[in-house]
Amino acid sequence: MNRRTAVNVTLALLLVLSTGFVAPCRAQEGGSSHNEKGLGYFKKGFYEYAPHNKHLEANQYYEMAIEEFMKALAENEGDAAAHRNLARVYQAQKKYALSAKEYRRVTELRPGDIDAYVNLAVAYSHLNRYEEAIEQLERAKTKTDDPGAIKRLNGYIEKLEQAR
Amino acid sequence: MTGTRHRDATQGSACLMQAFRRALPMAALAVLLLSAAASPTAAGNPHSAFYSPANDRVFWFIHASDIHLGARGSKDSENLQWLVTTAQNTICPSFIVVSGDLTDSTNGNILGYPNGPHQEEWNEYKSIVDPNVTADTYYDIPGNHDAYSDQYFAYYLANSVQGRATGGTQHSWTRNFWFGEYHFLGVNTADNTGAAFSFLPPYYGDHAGLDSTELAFISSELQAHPNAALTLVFGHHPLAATGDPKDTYIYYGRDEFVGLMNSNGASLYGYGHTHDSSESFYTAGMSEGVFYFNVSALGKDSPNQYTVTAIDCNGIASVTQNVNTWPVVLVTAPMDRYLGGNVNPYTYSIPNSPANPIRALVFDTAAVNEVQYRIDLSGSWRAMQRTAAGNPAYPHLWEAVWNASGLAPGEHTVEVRATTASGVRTDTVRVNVQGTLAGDFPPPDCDVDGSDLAVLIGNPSLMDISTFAQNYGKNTCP
Repeated sequence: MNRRTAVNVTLALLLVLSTGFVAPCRAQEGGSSHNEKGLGYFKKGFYEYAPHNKHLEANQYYEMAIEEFMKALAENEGDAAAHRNLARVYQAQKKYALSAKEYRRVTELRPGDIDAYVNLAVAYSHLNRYEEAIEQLERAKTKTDDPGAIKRLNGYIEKLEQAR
Repeated sequence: MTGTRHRDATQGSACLMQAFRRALPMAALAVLLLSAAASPTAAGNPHSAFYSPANDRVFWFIHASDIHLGARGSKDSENLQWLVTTAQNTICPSFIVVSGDLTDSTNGNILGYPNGPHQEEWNEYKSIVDPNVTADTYYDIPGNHDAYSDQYFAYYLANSVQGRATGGTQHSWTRNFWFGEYHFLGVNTADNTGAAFSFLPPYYGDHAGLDSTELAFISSELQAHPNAALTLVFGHHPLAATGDPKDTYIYYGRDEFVGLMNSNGASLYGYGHTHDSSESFYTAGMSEGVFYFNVSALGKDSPNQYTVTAIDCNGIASVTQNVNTWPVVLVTAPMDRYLGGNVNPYTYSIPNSPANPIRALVFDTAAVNEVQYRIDLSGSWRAMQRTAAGNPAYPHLWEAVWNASGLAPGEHTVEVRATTASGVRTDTVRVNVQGTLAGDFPPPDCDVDGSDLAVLIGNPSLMDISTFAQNYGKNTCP
């Protein structure tokens, strides 16, 4: 290694180390310990069992996750993260009516969360409730100025109109 | 209050430890990358292509991408089935590489909104590929649709061919022949955060890139194959913005990755993601560049395409074709001067010899009636012959000898036409014919590689072929 390379290595090391030390720690998502516990159960079922087609085991963990998210909501009904987590578990269980109910609540609590409207529309589409799905996507369009997002939402609406 | 301060202090200390732990592998990577960059050895040699009458140094593979199994209203499963049965059995590739988006992550929802992963898609994927491929012939790497909401790549690892075989998300493989080793690398450019799909810019839930662990694997694998004649790399994402704001690309680790390809002499970066086919030459941050090759989606949108790429005497040739269309025709020698759009620095000029070789691969499910060539898009078509039955590329390789001695120096076109029971198709390459007489070539240099063989064809008295083969890849400079 020549002198220039050695200097480069040292500088790179210093840069990397200093960047690492000053980087802020990321805050934990969600404030509720029930949410965290529920997510742990969900991840166990969804990432450890479901990819191996062990659906019974996965579902056991989903039920435990649901219990925790319910507890989180019992403490604070306005906990959007808990509603979103619950919606996700129900979606994994293909319980689309329950999933839709929870995503609907997320849109009420977080009206700017456009992906929640789309997830809600997807759940409605599984239930053949196309009118309500379109209605949610129209609402989503009012929450963004991004032309790309609006174009994509219009594309979704078009697909639903063709399906109904 | 005290309790809170104590918790804060503990949190701060944990934060420092966490940062230190995070910094260590990055520091190690920095050392690795810098030492790799400082290393004079290169894994591949893009300049090693040579023009030769030797017809037994040819092999080929299929590159496909973006199957999107589970996409509603597409021919995803039908086209994947075709790829691993009809295409594989007819084209007989050395291997198939699929550069990501194996699944759609929508499980057929009407909106086409990726809210997976969905095991149903992966089950269908396995049901199609498992009976038809092995981990030695099929290399599937992840794309963004295989990574949404899965920071562990749990579904990819449990269900893809390579994930199950290797337990990893990046893959390195070689093909070894009597004429050399060829190294291939599949890199995982998909987001590692497990973010869900979002249609909000700038990243749409797809913060693509290569982290320190992934770069360390790439660096280590490239250095583990210092004798590779060529190194070809595949990933899902483009290296840079395409001009379409919806096309995400490698946002982090790109410069380090390009640096590694550059210092290790990679010849090609093949990718998918955009659902478009294109070829160009990527040079940013590189000494000369790589053949930058984008193949369209196999299973979603249209046209549904795939590519056959051939290596002939270390020269790269490729043809992109719509699924289920025949014949496939690919001129493998001489090499296309415009591989990648502009004049490619890795192609060779050819002598104005009366006995220049032309070779082409022809594939068809139906009988091939005849294969012909002509020069400069005019004049009569001349017959090409199938190589002898003992040739490793038999029965797909066709060849002929053409007389270039009467041509003016400069650019000329070589066109090959195959007529089969399926139809007629041509492939065309442009070449630079040298003005010098065969005997006037400069002597071979002491770094014995493909460029010297072109010289030897012009003047065999300079070095006999067995000496050349013995010294190939070596540096005989005093």
